[in-house]
Amino acid sequence: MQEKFQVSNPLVQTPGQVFEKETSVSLELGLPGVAFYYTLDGSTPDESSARYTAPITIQETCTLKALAVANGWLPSDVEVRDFVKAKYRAVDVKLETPIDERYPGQGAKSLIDRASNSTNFHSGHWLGFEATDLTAIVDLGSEVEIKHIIVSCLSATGAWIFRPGQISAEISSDGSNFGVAGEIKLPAQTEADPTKIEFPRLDIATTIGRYVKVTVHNIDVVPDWHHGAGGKSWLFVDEILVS
Amino acid sequence: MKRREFIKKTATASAAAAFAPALLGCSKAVAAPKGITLGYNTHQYELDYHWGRLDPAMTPVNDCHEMVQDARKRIVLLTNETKNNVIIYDKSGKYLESWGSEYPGAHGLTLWNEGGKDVLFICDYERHEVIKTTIDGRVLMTLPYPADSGKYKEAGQYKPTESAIAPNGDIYVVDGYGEQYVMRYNHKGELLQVFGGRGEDDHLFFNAHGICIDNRDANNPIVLVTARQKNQFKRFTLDGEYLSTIEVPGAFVCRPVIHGDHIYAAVLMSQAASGSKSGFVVILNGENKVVSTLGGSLPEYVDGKLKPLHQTVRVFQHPHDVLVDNDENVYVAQWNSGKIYPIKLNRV
Repeated sequence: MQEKFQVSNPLVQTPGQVFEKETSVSLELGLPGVAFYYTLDGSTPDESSARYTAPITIQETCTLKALAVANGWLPSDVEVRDFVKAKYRAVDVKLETPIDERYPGQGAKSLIDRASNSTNFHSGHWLGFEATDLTAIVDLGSEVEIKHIIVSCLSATGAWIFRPGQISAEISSDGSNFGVAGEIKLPAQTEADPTKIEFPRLDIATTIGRYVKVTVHNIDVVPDWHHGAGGKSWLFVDEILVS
Repeated sequence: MKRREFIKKTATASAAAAFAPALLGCSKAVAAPKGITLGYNTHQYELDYHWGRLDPAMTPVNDCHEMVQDARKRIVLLTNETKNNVIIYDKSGKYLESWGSEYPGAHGLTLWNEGGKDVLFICDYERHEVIKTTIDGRVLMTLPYPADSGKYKEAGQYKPTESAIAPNGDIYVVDGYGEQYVMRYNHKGELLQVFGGRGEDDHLFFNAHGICIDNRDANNPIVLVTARQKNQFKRFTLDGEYLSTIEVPGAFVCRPVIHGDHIYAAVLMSQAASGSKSGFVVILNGENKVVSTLGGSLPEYVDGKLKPLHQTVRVFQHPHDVLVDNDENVYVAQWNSGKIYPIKLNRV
């Protein structure tokens, strides 16, 4: 009996998965004869989907799903990447929680540099927190209408990195008097979740404000199904977005 | 060498006849209707996926961490399955014997010929110890955590992943899952020196996962240490003085394995797709340049710099060690890959 093996997932190259107006995506693998098929509407791609021929321009929030196919090999898994359009560009950010020296990123400013494009948590863009929460105050530069707060976080359970349990936000006009804006509980991580950048979104009643204090809650303890059950869980965040 | 060249040419010719369209204009290995060939250039292999499959009810494996070949040409596998930590095969994949139930964190396996007799060094990161045994499992010496190094407050900080033995019998141990130090002992197990440690500097590590003695220049053996998180091997003198770094961009390399003029290493996963069963194998030549990958991208140097490597086909999930036997065939042991037995690749 001859075993059959899969093609590896397409390699997604992009300057950023979060953007103000548009971003671009290219797919590659370096395997002779490989073809890529993709969707942007959330449906699962197959060989009847759009065939990739040139870099794709993305102008709205969407999910890219891409498949690699090559003769003699089984199709790849579906590579899934979320892209998020965020209206406001923060001018400053302050961390209320200490940075872990093992995963300092480029300091607090990593959270507003919009360089979210890699699940490599050593890329220098990710801030890591071991069994502690992250609280940061984002300064939007002027008072604006705020409806959505989006956090870019890493889900990579093989590396003990888990989706946050909860995200909460407070909003202020002066940077000192904050009012509660809302909170959202996120679904618990499961064993089947792939390694990817996730963009959980907190929707709030439209609020005018300049400063947004965001707390991203670590689940703190590795869940029971994981081989590290009971240990300290990591939270990795690389962007806080306001729209 | 001449025999090797002859065999290679013959094999390439027959492969080209069968799969001419795919091979035209490049040396890339592609899927074959019968049999799968992996690799590039001088190092191409045909997959023998069913080698060494045993009955998991009788002789189970968990993570297959490392392999060596003993003086009797047998294949010795180390797994963290405590029903049988060590499984010994012949080269055809036939089970010969197994032993060991006291190595829950069995991770590093190193063979040393001591006065004509094979001995093994097992690094156990859960026991926080290195254990020297006979080839049939009798314990000869245990190196506990290096309390007198002054680097450790308690045994739990010390998680040794690999050992290497120098020509004079000195024992080098890397604390790859712990504090990233390299311990050097004499053959009696007396601590001589500690170097390395965690950090960004040239002589420091993030995940000093593997170590070997690079004796390709017999007059000038050096210590080669994996810096896995940085996708590098770092070269040191036997006295622990940093010399230089070998870059393997894109590849989370495990321990370096010296065979002939080449370095072979399992790649746990690709930087480009970390966390998704994206491993492969790399082979470096005598100039420490990557000449082939098994299941990975074609190595390409631009202005002397290797373009980042990545997995292209998922033949392997998480390779953790390679063994090259005396017939030039390769065996791949894998971590966290569905308790799969080692995979053999026959050189073509």
